[in-house]
Amino acid sequence: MIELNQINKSFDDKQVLFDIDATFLSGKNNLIIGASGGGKSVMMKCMVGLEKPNSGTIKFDGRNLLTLESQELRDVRREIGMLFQGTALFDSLTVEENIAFPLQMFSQMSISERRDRVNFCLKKVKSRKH
Amino acid sequence: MNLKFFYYFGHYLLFLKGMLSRPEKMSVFFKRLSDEMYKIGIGSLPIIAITALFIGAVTTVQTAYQLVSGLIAKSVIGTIVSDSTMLELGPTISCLVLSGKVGAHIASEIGNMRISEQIDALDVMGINASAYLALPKILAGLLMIPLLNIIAITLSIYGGYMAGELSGILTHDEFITGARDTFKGFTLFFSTIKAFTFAFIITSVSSYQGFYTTGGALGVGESSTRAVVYRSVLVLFFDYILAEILL
Repeated sequence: MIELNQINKSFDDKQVLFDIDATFLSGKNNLIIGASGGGKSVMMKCMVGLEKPNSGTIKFDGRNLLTLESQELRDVRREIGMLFQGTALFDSLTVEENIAFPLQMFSQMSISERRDRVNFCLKKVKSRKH
Repeated sequence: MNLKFFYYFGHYLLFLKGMLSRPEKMSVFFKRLSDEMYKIGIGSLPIIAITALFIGAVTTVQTAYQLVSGLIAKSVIGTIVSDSTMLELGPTISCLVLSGKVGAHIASEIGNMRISEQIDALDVMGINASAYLALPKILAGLLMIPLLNIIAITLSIYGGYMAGELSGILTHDEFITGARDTFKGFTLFFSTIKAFTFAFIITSVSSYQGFYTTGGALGVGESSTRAVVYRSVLVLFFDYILAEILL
């Protein structure tokens, strides 16, 4: 569960988020709609710790993201997946390498196991026929 | 003094401190380190070789031009070429060249990753982005740039020797005698210390500037330009500081 409590965020003198309170329950789908430039992306970035709010608290399963040490924050982030607006794929890597990247970093899979998993994922999105 | 200097210096130190963590996976880290070593070391070899050969050649010709007195032995040219190459021309000029080539590449590569949210993606995955991106580049620089310096010194002396021999300024024996007679191991040690220091400046300042790039393509250009200026000034500043301390 992610809980936002009284979140305020401003860039210089432009306030983007005003006293945001929200709760995102585990297993539920949530939709955030707002005008362009209304602070949706900033709120998302605050929720994963990429931006620091000026005030308020953000709790991820009871852990306050704003008071965690950098290693603890990294551990929490490993439980989060985020798709960026501009996709943020590693342009120096191939499609296969991009998919295999987290497996290479965080799993003990062998190269052939990783290749199988990548092929499985690509087949799911019909990028690879066989 | 402008207080902003202290802010950015502190920020730079925090960036360096942030890198000091155990890599997520050692095998990935060593792969990245070897890739960077290849890019910095082998990739810079041609430009370093050309620069060094011509610096040595020019030093020989210009020293001969200034040695108008017949009382001074021609072997002095060999001494001047080898000592000045080891003390100053080898490390400083080659590091200024590397500052342009390697530094600009590092700053623009990391800067592009920042503006296309690739660094944010690494952060979200729980990867220490500065350690993943910058640490292999800094370590590769620390390992390869002193080696490139040794190659630059060797080629520069060879360039000086060839220029002397081909233009008939001095003979083979005169050059070798001059270069060998006054050789001190400390000179080479000092040169390596300089190359090591400059390597750290080139790679860390470039990584820092790239890492904190803001804006779009314009921002990448600005951070790369800023990095070139800071690196060049810092290399020259530490060139003087090291000479004052160690000589």
